[in-house]
Amino acid sequence: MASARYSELVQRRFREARHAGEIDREPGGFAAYVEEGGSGARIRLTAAADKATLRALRFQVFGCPHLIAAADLVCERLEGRPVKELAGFDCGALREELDAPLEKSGRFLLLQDALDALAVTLDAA
Amino acid sequence: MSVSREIYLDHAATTPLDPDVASAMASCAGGDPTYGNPSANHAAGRRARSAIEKARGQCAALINAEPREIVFTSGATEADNLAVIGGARFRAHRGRHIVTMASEHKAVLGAADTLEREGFLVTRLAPGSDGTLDPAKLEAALSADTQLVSIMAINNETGVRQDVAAIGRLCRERDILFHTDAAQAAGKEPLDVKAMPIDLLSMTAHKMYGPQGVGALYVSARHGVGVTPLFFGGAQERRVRPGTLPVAPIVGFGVAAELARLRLDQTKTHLSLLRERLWSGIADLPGVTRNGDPDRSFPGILNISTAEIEGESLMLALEPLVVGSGAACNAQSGEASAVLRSMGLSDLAAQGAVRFSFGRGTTMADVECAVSAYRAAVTHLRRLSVPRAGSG
Repeated sequence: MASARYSELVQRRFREARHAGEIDREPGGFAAYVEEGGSGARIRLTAAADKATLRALRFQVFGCPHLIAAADLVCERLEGRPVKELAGFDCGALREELDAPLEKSGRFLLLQDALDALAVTLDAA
Repeated sequence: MSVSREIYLDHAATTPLDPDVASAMASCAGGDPTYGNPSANHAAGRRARSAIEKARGQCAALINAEPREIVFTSGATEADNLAVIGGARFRAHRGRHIVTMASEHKAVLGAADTLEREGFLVTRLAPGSDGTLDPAKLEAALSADTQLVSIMAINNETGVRQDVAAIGRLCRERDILFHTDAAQAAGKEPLDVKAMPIDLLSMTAHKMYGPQGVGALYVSARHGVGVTPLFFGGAQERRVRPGTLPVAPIVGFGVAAELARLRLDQTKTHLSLLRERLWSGIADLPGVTRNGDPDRSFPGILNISTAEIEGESLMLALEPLVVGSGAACNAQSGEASAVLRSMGLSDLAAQGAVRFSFGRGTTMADVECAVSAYRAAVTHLRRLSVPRAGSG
């Protein structure tokens, strides 16, 4: 079965993905989009934020189950947190927590890029 | 309809063991012991040999061959290797060119790569976008140096049938050895090595409800046909394939071949109904395409791609359906299917393709569940997905 390749946490997040979707851009809405050429994986993050705090975060992903689970977890963990935590989020540690194989490192780097891009967008606003 | 039980739709990868086959194999160790070495001349050896010769006849009957033309192997991969490498080496003094297709199984392509390293010239013809090979394209690729053509009967990923009879005639007219990998076809489609005509044919037990670990290469007794052995160290199988023969698996193979022959028509009708129901249940989903010419494909396989659906996520979303993401041999690597790419699909479309393959035991209720599961999986993944920037 395909599921043997994924931890329980990945499977649950993949199936439930409570933070999937998008937040209206206005008012106080921000978005960031990144994609990886080789695999075709792509992420769009949308956030509702005031000056210092991420009030809500949503993701849209075209990619593997690990990337979907990771994006869902990131959104959950950063909601209600200071905006400055976006850029400092450790996606490498998340890869280990999700027990994703090393060959998936590129997907987690892509997620890091998406968070960085969102931080830049918020910073510029 | 939610799917709560495992539904096995990966019969192109392997089939479950038929109870009658299992029973025949068990009898080798039980009431009718055949544990002797079939090469030995004592009574136990003779019993084992007799069981093997019966199985050889059953396997031969499946493809209208003579029993002496059947060489048992460990499976279709070995049979393909033996046919392609052994056949080309057998004829090397007459020419060193072979022709195959880019959409062949890796057992053939890997063997061709080996020959290329030995200095043979290898032509790998691309199929059309429907998966088929135009015999005229093959004819144009043949030269005075060509000694072997290897074209599979039914593609393991798309189910597309090649016109084996036309290819066989083309080769026979030029005295070129014709090998066909019939791992998917044997036991599922009528095969007649004399009428088609075929010189070398690979088959395997585990794709026809027999045991894993045993297969066969048909080597025509026609003058000029032969294979140089790849293994050495014994006189078994006319020295073509030395090594002690595994009696119980071969007995199982024989029974599986006989049952397959008797059930051929009945199974085909059943598979056609299942495939068309599955396709009609999902064809209206936006972006779904069927890979391979439906009018020239084996009804036990349906290969589909869905635009903007990532393959790895699709496989997980489809559980508990057990389906194939291209060839089982490729599934571990996660590589996009070389077969589908050779038909012109993009890497992304090929990587997201799913192969449903049905068997004797598959029911219409299983297929209804598969329809529901596929629709639900596509809906789920599209809800999560994001369009590519600039695609609107």
